[in-house]
Amino acid sequence: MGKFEKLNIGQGINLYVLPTDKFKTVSISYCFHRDLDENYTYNALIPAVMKRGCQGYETIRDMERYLESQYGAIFDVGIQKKGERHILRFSMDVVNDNYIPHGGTAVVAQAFHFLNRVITKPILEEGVFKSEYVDQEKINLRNRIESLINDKMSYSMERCIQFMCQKEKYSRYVYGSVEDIDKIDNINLYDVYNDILTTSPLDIFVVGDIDSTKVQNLLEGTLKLDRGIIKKIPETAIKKMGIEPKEYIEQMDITQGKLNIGFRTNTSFTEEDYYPLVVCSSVLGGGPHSKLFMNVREKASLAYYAFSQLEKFKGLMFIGAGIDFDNYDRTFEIINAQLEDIRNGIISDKELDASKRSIITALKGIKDQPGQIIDYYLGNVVANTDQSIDDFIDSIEKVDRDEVTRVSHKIKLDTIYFLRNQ
Amino acid sequence: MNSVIKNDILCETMHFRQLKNGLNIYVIPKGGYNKQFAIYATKYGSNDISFIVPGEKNPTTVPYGIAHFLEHKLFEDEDINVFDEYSRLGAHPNAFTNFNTTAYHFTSTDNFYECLDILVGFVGRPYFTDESVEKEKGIIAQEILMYEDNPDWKVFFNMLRALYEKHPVRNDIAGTIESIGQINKELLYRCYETFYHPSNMALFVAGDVDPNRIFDQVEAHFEKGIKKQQEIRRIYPEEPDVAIKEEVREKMSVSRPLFAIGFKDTPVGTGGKSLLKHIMINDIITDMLIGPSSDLYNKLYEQGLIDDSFDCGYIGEKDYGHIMMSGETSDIDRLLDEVGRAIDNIKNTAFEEELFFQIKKKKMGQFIRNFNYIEGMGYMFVSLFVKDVEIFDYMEVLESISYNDIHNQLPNIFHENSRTISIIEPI
Repeated sequence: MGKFEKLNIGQGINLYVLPTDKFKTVSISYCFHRDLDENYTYNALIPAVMKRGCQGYETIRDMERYLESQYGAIFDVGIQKKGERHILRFSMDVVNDNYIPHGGTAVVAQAFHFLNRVITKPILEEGVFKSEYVDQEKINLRNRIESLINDKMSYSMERCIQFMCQKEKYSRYVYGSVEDIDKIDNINLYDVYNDILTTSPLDIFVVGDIDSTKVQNLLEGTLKLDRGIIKKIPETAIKKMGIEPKEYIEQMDITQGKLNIGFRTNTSFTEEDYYPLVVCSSVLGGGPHSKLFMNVREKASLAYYAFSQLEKFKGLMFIGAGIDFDNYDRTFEIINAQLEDIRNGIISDKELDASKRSIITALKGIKDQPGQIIDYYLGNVVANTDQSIDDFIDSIEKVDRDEVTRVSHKIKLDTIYFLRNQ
Repeated sequence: MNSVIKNDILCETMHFRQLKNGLNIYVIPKGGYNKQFAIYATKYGSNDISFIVPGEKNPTTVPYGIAHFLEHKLFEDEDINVFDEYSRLGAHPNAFTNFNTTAYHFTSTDNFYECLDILVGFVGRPYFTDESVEKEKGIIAQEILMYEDNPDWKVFFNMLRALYEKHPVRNDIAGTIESIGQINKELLYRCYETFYHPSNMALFVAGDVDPNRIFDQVEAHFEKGIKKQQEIRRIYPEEPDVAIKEEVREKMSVSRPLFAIGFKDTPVGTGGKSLLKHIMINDIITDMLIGPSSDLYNKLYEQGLIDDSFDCGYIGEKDYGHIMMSGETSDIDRLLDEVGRAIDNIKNTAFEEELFFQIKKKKMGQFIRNFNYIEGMGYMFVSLFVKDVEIFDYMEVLESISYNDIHNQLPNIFHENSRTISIIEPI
């Protein structure tokens, strides 16, 4: 498998094509970049409205019937948060023409036409979005935001983030806020849609058995965007010093307590320190080799899960564990002791090596999944860096114990959140 | 016995060897892939509570959750720490237990053959002590409590308990805190000896690997002279055709009601292609009735009765089967009305034939797509293995389904009293 061919096709649109015959599918992803600003609820609603239909395929039924006839093409829309950036994503995943029984049917070519149509030809009435679709998707979005509470693991993590980043854009929930939904109508939503098409940086990723010339030909003539001045997305704020750790306890009618702890790593994805930080988080809670797994789960039998993970774009680290309500203090002490050990350089060769091997396995594995390949390079675009997976692997190989210990001192406790029973 | 099976549409080849002890090993080489995936599975899950050990006369009955408990405990070894060994090699190991299967697997990118030795080694070497069994009860109790707070899980199991009166599928996979309390090392050894015989197991590998090296290496793990096992008789109580409850409700901390509608099917009774065909027919029926391209789905969506959280499909094994439709709704009564009316409607007027062909196309695409993802291939393989189905038979069976098959099955699945509804309401 080669490298992405990057082509600027003008007007703030970049095309990334990775030609490979490794997969039986062609994956296409259009990503519009937005600041996570006060319009964030609009950003979340727009893809949902556009998924309802476009000119030519006016209902979900019409769209689905078309996709089924394309051998179960998968069309999806979504909204993602990467640091303080909101990404609207329109994607299509189709079986490559070569693998279609009884002779090919130009499924790949049609996929581009379909996506372009969805993006540029939404269903309008009186020159704005169809109100029926907007009204209904407003309700669905509200339900979606409110249903966060159903999944206690995600809910407690999100609450931890909200408390921790309460004065920062990053506290905004990826699907928007219920309060904002009331302010949205089909007219102002259509304005934001037009602003996105005109001013948002757009990246188009394609992975599969297809070359960039062919993709360019397929885009030409069907992707007609009226582009204006392309907005520059502000950088995500990362450094934060002088933090007073805070503790928040909330109650709910549940049977297992959820402990979430948020830290500032004070390290950005593009710094050299990022590599030892990744290793540090893995030593702490990155799998069965980690200190949290060994000490919280295996030795103390306090939890079924206990992990640590990074939010690389915002420079945060989170620990999560599901525990008995009464074990809150004890679990926190054990977790703290693990981090202290790392800070004191108590990391065995076995732990260090296993962490590096585990990270490298995950990195190599990215190359086997089109969706992960796209996500990795989208991350590069967001962080404004151009680092191949192989370079990343080399950098992880070189990390030593002293570096891990050094970056662990930059990690500052910010917020402890515990969800318990009433 | 070695064999090589090619599939020209998929451009994939499967290599197979059966060992003298009955273990079946399957390898699909995937040139150019960085990852290797190995999954080692036994036909043994949470449903296997009552059975006759080969060579014995009387049935053995064990506590609920023991298959899952055994899965946790097999990772413990007398001499090595299995997780450490895998970690040293950078592999990502895991395991799962469901109703019919326990499977141990790893993903590696380097040192595949060493990882394979670890896998086949520890699964073949039970080591349980009273102390370690007791300690595991604490971890599994936390796992059970985690599911207690999960409304999707709850709405699903409440539905199963309302559909099935006696079949063990109505019990939680991990058991209960009380039932795991009864587990001891003697019971674990007894279940192990019964269900972890190579004849009851299969190993599947996908990745850029050498099939013959895998076959020889795995064969060397077993003592020579192990004979194939006699059949394990699994005992399931007589189960009525109808759902035992029309409705079951529970309150939890959720934002709005969650539902799971179940339709109980008459089981096929055997595995193999006939079971696979039966599953696909029911899957297509579900899709034609209420999949996203159906009129019903669109009507329900447009009326705000369902949203993106909606999901539907057929779950079928040799001894049980049901359709499930689940999601969130703001009006369960209206939703049930509409579904009921649509079912009556298709029983009287036929499904659209064009839609049938389209959905078959979709299923074909979905199957081909699985071969992109080596872990996905492994999971699919295991799910077909417990049904006694070969992975490459899938396309042939799908092709063989006719429009008439669909209509012949309708009265069997949507009969009087086959339906139940499980609801989780906000507190």
